[in-house]
Amino acid sequence: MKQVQYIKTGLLSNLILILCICTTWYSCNDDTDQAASAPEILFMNENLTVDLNKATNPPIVCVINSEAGLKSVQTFIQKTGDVEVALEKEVVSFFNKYSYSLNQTPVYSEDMIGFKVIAIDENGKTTTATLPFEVIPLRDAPTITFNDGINEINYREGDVMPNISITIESEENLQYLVLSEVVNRVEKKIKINGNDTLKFANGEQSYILNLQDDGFQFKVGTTALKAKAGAGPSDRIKVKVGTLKVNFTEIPAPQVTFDGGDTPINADEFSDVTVKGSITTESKLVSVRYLKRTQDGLVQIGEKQEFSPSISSHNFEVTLENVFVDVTGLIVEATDELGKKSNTEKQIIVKEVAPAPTITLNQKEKEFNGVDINSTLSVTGNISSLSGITDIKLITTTRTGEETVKSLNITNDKNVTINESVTADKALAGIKIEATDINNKKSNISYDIHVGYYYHEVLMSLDGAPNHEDSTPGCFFSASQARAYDYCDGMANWQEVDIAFSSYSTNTVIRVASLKQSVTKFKHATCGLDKWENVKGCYFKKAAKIKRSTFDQATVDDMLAETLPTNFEQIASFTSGNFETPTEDVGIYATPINGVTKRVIIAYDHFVKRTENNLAASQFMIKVKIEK
Amino acid sequence: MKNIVLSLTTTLYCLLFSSCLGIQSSYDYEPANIDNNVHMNTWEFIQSRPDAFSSLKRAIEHSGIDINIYTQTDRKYTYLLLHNDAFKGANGILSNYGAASIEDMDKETLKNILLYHTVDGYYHGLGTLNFDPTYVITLWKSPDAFMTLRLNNKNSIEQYSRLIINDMAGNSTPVTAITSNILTTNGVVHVVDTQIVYKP
Repeated sequence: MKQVQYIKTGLLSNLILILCICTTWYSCNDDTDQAASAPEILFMNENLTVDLNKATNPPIVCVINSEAGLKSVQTFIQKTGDVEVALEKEVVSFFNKYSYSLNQTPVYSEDMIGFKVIAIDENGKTTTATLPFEVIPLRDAPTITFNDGINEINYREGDVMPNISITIESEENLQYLVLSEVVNRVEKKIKINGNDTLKFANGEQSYILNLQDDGFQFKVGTTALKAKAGAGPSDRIKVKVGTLKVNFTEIPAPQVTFDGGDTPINADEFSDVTVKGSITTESKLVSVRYLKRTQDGLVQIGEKQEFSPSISSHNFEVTLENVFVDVTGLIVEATDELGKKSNTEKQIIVKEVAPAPTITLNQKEKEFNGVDINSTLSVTGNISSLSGITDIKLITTTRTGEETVKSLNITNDKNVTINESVTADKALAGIKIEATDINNKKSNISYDIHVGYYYHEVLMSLDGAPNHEDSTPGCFFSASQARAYDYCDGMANWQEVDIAFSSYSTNTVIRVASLKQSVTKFKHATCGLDKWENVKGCYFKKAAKIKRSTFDQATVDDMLAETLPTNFEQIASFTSGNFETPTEDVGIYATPINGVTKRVIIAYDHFVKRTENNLAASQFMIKVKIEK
Repeated sequence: MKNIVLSLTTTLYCLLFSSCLGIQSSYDYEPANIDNNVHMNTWEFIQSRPDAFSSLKRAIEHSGIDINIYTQTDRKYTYLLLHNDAFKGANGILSNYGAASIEDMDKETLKNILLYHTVDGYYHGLGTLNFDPTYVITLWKSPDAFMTLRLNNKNSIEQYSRLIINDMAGNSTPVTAITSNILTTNGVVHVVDTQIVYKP
């Protein structure tokens, strides 16, 4: 029985102990501290000032401390009218649940009044805090007023420039003012005090600009005057553009009206032509002059007519006496007070009633190229005229430019037969037949004469590649054929080719030399000079006496007076600096033609075509004299 | 039987006392560090190290700032204490403000500097900060009193986990603490040798 009592006592005491354990464990467990205070929300300031006029505004910084540990944080933007907008999703995960920091930069607007934070800790305790906003709203851009509020202005060309004042006002400090005018749809700046931009540096909030102070004047075609003003802090300048529409009335230039309108006046040659008309102008007419248009240009008729005082209209009558066929019109040039000129032309068609004499010669020009020395040249043919021939001249010219004039007999003034002969001395350079009729109309025909030598002008290039896209004539020259050869043509006719043209690698200088001066220079895959089995050897040199400037005057005697070359080594440079600037160099060499050795002189004539993708293919003309 | 009851009772008592010891927080190995506690408040700590903080002490006294900020125990503050070097040199505080000595400085300016260098909250590298900049509230109530704190994540023995102030805060020049995580009785101390300035 005593044992049972022990067991009962023991179990009771253990039951009490278990209760004590539970109570003690509960009191000792600190996982959730119900005594912890509610979350604490800290802001940097009591309120936040936001200036919408600034480019940037400060972020909202907030720190939330919690003794129990944060469970969630919600943020809201408060707006006028009891509106709350959640700024971000509710935060429920924290790196440090006892302290949480947030940083928000919302897009601020004028209706925002605060930033609200709701923090809930793990005990369910809630703290709400609000950071009030003080929002400075956007200030207006500056205002621009023209002449107390006008939007447009009328202006007639020639009138006195009206007073235009531009008033700029701003709540903030003015920064700058730029003026411009729109003329024929093109905007151009107007200088203010000599500068394109007027800058304000003294905190001005208003400014008045009087345009007449700067002598501003509207131009023909002005359609608007624009003022652009900036105000506010430099990082956020507000810009306003004001426009004054300009109704510009342009005064037309003097109006010239011909009797008969635009219909041309038809007249016979040698008759008098009278042109009538009137001039009217909105401005005043100050002067008029009359100009005859001929094939040679404009010729003023009489003195310039000036009006003082100026007049509003004027009737004119101009007579052109004894008009020739070269007269094509009459121009009336009228000038008004504004300096505006009008040039109005009346077309005149003059019918030729008596053409100039007609000269017909039996000889062709090529017959005078390479004539024998001291041979007799026949000049035969006839001259006809409807009006009557009054004078016929045969003019011969020497290589030095001296002329000899011979008057021919006129047996029949309507038709004259020519049968003249001229001795071809070495100095003879040309002949010319000139006929004059009763109306002083002249006509002529002339030929160059080359005595003792043949003269040729030949198109050359520095590149001789066959089938080249530029179709280059070739760089090899043949005196016997008086032509250029390219690589392949040259190889097939090697015995005809005398000399070769080349250039420096810089492609600036045209050089000419014997083929043997540098065989390897003219390489080509199939036809280059290095592929020729035979290369004709012509000695070549620069002429000692004949220069490019005297080349045309050189006679066959001058050619014979030159010393011939004795080797292949010499060269002549026909241009310097580029392909187009000739030097005075003239080349000379001797080559067999039809089995007889003949002298050849050669000079650069003029540049023809620059080929940019292959400068060596550029083309030029040479002139050559070949002893007959 | 008597022994069985006695043993059961003894076991229950052991359980009772063991429940008061708290639960084990982690199974991970936690190395033992040097004790960061200096067992004094921040003002006492400043005074105890004249070799480092004599200038700061003079600045506190000259500025007229409430000393209680450094002695109070109501809240935990984070004290960014200015080392003597922060006052000296071409880029030192004295030079920056054109003062010959601390006593020549404008008191209000000095006070604001000291308030800016005191953060409301308990931020240290022992679990409350990470590598991301955390915006904090300083005692200087000004629109220009922004400040961020973060730990350096640079892969370097010397740099890793050091406190960086004002990294990515406007155009401010980040400042790295020369000594960190000194636990005083009223907060935590980090030492800087450069004035911390926020530049928007």
